[in-house]
Amino acid sequence: MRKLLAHLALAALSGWSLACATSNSSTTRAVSQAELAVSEAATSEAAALAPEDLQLARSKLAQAEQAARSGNQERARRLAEQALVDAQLAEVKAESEAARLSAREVETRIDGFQRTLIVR
Amino acid sequence: MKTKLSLLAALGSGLLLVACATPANRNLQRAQADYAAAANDPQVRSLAPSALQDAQVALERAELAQRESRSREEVDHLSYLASKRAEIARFSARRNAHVASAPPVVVVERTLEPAPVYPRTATTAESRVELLSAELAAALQDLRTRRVERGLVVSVEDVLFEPERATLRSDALADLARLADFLHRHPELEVQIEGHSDGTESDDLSIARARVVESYLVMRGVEATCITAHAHGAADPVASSASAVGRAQNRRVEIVVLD
Repeated sequence: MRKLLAHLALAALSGWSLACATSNSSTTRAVSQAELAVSEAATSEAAALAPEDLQLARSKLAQAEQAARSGNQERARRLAEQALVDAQLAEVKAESEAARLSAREVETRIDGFQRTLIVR
Repeated sequence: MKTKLSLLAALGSGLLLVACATPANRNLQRAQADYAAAANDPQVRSLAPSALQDAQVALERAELAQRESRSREEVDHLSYLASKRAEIARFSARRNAHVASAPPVVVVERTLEPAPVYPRTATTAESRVELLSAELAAALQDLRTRRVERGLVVSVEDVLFEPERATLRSDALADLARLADFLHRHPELEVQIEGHSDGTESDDLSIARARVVESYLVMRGVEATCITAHAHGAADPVASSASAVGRAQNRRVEIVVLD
């Protein structure tokens, strides 16, 4: 009976550690993916053109890292996954704004030189 | 006994009903609305299909979590991801639309490289225009051309100019852009730009039109020293100025690539 109990305890322990290990690794992966997305967004035009979205991504990443350190894997994974989409949104928002500005600038320049010519 | 059984059955089905009717999750409903807004936007469907697909996958994960009665936190979380994916799809489409609508100048400014040097003496034996005819044909595409003794005449007709105006219509700039890129690659060619008016307009428009085309070519990287612009007024019509169609044909700029 004692042997059985010991086996059971061992099984429970290994099961627990296995579950813990998988959740740890998926959290680690989510956090490192978020770190990559945030650093990519930070070097893009998002810093200038979508600062609020970028800031949101950064703060969620910091919270995710904090949660991971304090052992709250579930919370860390969720925050990291959110930081990732926040960073991607910041980047695409900034790209959209940059493309709009550049299209407008070219139009203005063409208009400008046409006006100059008409006056001349 | 029978009533007890039916009572139990009623209780059981009641419990089942309660279990099935998981309370609606507001964040999930918002995610569904966000996805629907993106998916119903034709611009998103055509310009950002893969981002829209990502949003759909994210929403399906959130809906599945709700059906499987996963924790409220998890459904909220997956709904947040789905809403953000829908927003990413909308902004991707917007970005791609801006890129597509930018006039061709943007592309050329990026790809502009130092023009290769062609010796001017190398073309004495044969006509320069003939030597480059295949490349010129590709560059000119829709532009009407005719061969004359002094070179090749490219007509830029009323597709580019409106009556009383000397402004280039931006939707027709692509033709000129191709010609400009060709001339940029071949600085050994000399070009004469000749402006014409339709007889009812001021003759000043003929020089204004020639100058607009000249400036456009220079802006696109063609050497200004290779170009000369002339005004012909209404002196050299190609059609009768009596009809609107004829006047539209006369309202033109001819670009002569000299031999």
